[in-house]
Amino acid sequence: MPHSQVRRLAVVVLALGLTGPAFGTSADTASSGVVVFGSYLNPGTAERQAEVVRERLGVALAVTEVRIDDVVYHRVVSEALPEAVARQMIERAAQRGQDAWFAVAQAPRSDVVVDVAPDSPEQPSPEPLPAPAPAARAVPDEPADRAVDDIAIPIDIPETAWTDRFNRIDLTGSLSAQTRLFYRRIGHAGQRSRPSGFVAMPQLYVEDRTGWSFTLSPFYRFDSDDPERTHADLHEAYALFFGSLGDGQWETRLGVDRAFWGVVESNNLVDIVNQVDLVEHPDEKSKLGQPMAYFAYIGNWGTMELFGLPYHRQRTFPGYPGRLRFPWLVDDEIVTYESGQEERHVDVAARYSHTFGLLDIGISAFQGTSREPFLSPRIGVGNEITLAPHYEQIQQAGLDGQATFDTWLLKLEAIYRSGMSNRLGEEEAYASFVLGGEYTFHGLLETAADVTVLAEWCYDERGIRATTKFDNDLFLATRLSLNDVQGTELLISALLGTDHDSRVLTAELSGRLTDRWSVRLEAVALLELDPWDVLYETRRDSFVEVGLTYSF
Amino acid sequence: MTLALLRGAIAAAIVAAAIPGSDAAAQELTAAEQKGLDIALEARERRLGFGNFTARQNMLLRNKRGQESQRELRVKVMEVDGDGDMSLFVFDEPRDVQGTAFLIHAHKDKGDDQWLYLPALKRVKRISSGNRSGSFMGSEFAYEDMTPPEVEKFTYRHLRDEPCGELTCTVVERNPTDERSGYSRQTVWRDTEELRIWKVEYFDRKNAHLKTLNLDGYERHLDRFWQAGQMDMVNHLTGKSTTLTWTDYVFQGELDAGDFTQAGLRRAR
Repeated sequence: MPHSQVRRLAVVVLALGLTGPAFGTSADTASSGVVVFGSYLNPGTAERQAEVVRERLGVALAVTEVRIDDVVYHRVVSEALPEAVARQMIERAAQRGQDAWFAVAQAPRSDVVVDVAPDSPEQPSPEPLPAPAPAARAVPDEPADRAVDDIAIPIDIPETAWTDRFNRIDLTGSLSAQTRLFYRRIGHAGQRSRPSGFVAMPQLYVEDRTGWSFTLSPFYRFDSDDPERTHADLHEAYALFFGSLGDGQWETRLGVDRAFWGVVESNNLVDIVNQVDLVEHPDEKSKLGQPMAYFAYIGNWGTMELFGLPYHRQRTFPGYPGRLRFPWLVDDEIVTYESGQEERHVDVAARYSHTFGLLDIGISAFQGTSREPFLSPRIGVGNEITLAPHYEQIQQAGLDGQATFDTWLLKLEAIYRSGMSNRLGEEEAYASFVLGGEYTFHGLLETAADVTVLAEWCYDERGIRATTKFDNDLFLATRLSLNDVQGTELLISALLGTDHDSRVLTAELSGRLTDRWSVRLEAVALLELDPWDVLYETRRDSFVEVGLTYSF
Repeated sequence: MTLALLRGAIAAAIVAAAIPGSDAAAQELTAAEQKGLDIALEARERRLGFGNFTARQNMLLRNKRGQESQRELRVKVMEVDGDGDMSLFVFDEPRDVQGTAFLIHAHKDKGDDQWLYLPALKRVKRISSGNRSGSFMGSEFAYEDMTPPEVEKFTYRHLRDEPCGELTCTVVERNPTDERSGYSRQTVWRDTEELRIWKVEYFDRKNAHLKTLNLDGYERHLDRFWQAGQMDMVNHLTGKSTTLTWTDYVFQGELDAGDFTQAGLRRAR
């Protein structure tokens, strides 16, 4: 496109003409500049150096002040010279044992950090110099010049095929085959012990020239045993817009998305935007997509995020053949809500976060439908018992913070929640927190490997009335990262009850086989659970899992 | 008090006034140290004013047996007034970490701030800066090799000038002042004309010659900024090597400081 090339060149020259003083426009004009004989913190040293060079070379020299990142250096320089003359001077200096460099004079730019003080009171300065601007040599009638191509001044949007309107159209994702083995005999009638299946997680990402984008991430799992675990979800389907506003940036996301809040590893108390996809994994870390209107403003004073959540997602629960469940099934057909608007109640959430040096702090609030249901038994027509989920209206205030030091981290998550029933079915407001620390040994035994040890204390003031397994527990874990080509990682963790006997061990080993294939092994061992534990009914459901993933 | 004494006192006062505290250290530098520092300062100054750039990186990892593995990254770098650069790395390959992003706010006077974005959980994690000497994505480049070293984080000593190819190189030894660095010293070859780095030898904490970096394929951007197109890092202790190839440089594009925040990290992909 010669025409647009010419237009772009013209704009470049014009733009440069506005930013700098007059400069040569001849294609042959060599750049000019000064010869630098050294930069010194101490003005006296610079003066002495100037004396020495004057004597050696017999040239006119000056000491100028150069400010580099708030430090003033005193620089011994020649007067402004054409490049060829300057090069000769450098050569002459070298012959006499004097080092020197050539500095191309720079067109002043607003974002250039160099600040050459033009007149120091005592020293006559060679500045200001005639400023040959970077692309001055590129005159419009010259063929395309590399230097000009490198200047990205987005000025002409060529009228071409629609695909050119987009920066990127990416289709990526993964396909996994997984199998679990529950190695202890079943605890409840109908359960099966060797489910296999696959997971498909494609992702489409389309970004236009302004950086605005649309993301589509569907999810599908097939499970050979449990039809409830065979499920599809829309993890993400949102349009993202952002831009500058005042001193900061705004960002908005409209559609279905996931938002993560929190800092700890065991139990992210503050993380409340998305519903738990419990059939995926009992660790409650898999989440369902959440319809939302999201707005954020990122200023110098921190980040403020607002969420409007117009639709409630129900928690998933295993079906009749599934392990990791109660003796009775949860029937989401008989769900009830405290709000008359049921799942269409508009929940609202907000979070303020900011980094204060070593400290990252987040303060959050949520008002709306609980993500955690209260399960009450119902007797069906055939006298069978099922559990009916009931979702209450709750309020939650959250605090999360992390202090990041050289090799260790201190972490806290705390919430105060009201409006939710405890394990006894009584409404009880409560506070809960997770407090922990993490230490990393880098370069273990003189290898590239890192070992991280972490300890977290999970406390819920409801104690025995808590609806979670983290009522008063200690979470201990160690993570070994080999930092090798395969990205091999081993994570071993233990959740230990302190009020009563409960011990849950997990081990997870993952790594790449090739650049496209990776493997993951996991073992969850429920070693001991006393009858008071929330997990008691799943006490026989220890398992090992193998997964093979192809990423594209 | 005699006039001579008074003169002496005034002279002493003037000398004292002329040496502010920050200059005291500079006074003690030997000629070789001063020259080494001068070269580093000059090289930094030539890099000032680039504003920002984006580029693509391809890493080819090779082990002793010749087995290869690829890494693809996109990089955004922004210059910060009075502090280290902000850098954002987004991974495209290997595919299992596609979309993982890494944000560094480099600092001159303290440890860098670093955040990692994990797309599977949509989680941003602030990570400690204690991993400076750790391997970057299993390559022979350490985290500390991935961002331009800050002048303030080293002491310098000029060793010699010697021919390097058609050019003359000035050879400077630099010693990291940061205890977290995995190196005891580095020897840097720069050509005297443009102060481009052509070779770096890295010595580990036990002063063994650990790695050698060779740079090539220099191109000048915006008529001022020299960038190497290819960087070859060889680890002499393990026999492994990594070739880092830079392409698609765009200088002074439409980047915003907001692209280098946690929110920017989340949408980087």
